[in-house]
Amino acid sequence: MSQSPNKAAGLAEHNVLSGNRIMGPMPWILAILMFMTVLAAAVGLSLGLSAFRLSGDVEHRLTVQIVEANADIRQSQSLAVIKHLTGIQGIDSATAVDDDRLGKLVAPWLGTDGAEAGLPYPSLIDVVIQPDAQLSAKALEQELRNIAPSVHIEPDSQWLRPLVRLLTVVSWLAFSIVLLMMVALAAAVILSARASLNTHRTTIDILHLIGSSDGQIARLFQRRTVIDALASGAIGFVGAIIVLTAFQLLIEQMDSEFFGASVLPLWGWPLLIMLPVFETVLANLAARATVLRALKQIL
Amino acid sequence: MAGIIHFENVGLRYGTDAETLSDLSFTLNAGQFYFLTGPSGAGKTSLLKLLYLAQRPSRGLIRLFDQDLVALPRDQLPLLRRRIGVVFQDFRLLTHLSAYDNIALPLRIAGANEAEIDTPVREMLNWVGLGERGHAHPPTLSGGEQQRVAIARAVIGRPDILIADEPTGNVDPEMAHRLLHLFDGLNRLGTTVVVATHDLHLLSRVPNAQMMKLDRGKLSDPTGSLRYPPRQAPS
Repeated sequence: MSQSPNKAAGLAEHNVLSGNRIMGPMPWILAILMFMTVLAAAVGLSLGLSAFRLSGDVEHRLTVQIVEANADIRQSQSLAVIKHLTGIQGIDSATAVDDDRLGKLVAPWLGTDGAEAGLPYPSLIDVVIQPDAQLSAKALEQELRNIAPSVHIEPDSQWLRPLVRLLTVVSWLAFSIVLLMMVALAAAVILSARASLNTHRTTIDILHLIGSSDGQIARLFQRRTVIDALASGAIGFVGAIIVLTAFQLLIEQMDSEFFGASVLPLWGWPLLIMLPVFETVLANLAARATVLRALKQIL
Repeated sequence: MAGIIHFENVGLRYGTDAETLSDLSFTLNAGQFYFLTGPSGAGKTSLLKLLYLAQRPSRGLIRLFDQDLVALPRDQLPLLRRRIGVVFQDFRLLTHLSAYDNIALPLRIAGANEAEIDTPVREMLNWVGLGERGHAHPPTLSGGEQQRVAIARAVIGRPDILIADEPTGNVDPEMAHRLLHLFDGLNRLGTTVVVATHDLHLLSRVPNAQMMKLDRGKLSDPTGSLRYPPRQAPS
């Protein structure tokens, strides 16, 4: 007979630890933790990406506003400003915001009939500056006053930066929650493993006395933990994906530019799928460490 | 004859209580049959615990298979335990496993694959007269049947030493005789057998056996205790 000290030799397959594999509150706790972890990670990824995109944009974007009641003058000034801006070195593009988009922007305040009612909307020009360009909004505004006296330049960063900051903070908060969830998960596994060790103390003693190594006994508990973690991870993950999909549909129905940018990107889904895998690996390691540590107290 | 177990001034104390075993010094030889006897509370089970490595001594030296047990790292203990078969007084079978799986346990622990396990387990079941009851779980077996499963589990790994703690305590006289016959058979195959019992009638059933008598944690006749019958004290 082989005397290899570390072969598990199918001990686990023969249900050496009594009881059903998936039972008790532990799998449900893990499922709930996984559900919340996936949601927090999805929020973190979406908002983090939004913040990243916005922060990239705001530093290099300006909005030029021409407030002129006479539509013809406003139109001609707008064209002249665009022509002037495109000639300036360091400006990537200068594009007039079309009436449709303008109508949508003011719709929350003036309703959708504002354009038909002949309201004098200001002309808006969206300006994109090259990243390394050294342009001052104030100097540019001064320069453009020669073409359109009522021109006003508003750097996007002025109003978007607090939003970017908020998004960044919320996304980091979400990632912190993911970390805390993982710590809670490891703690749950440790408590469960300790309780399980007490429950199976007699079996462990017998296994020890007939020659089981600590590693073999630990593997019995690890196997059970991995099965619990996989099953509960799958339940929690599927639940979270259903909720996220419902949210995505709601966001799409809102037809909002801002919320549309907050949709989870495609590359985010594989990252979310990794969470139950990571949860299982973490649970496995936590169970092993707990059991081995406890077994060292026993001869 | 080669010494397989050697005790030298061994003492065992639980917590801060008085010593349960004191100043034990003896050598057990390979291939011998030993009875360990003495009144209840004499320390037989404690001595057996030292022999089957469930306890370390509080003091003294124990050598088993030429290894110093006191200094041996704990991760080396499983390999030694696999060379020792133990029949516990309370059987210690895993009640959720069948008789077959209980008997197969030492082989699975030692790393044998299923093809290597089936034949010896079935042979062992037949040997202890439970060939048709392999699927039965311990709670459905009688005391004697459980005892035989425990014995089969203890010997299936062909241990160098077989230790049995009051193996006849839960069985009728006929079964006791059969069990002793099993142990004697194993001993003839070369296994060192140590049987703890307070049933003095058993001692005469194995003519070549030697006797160790414990009394209040001490071998009552250290110089003659490993002989059967005990050496007469000089007058």
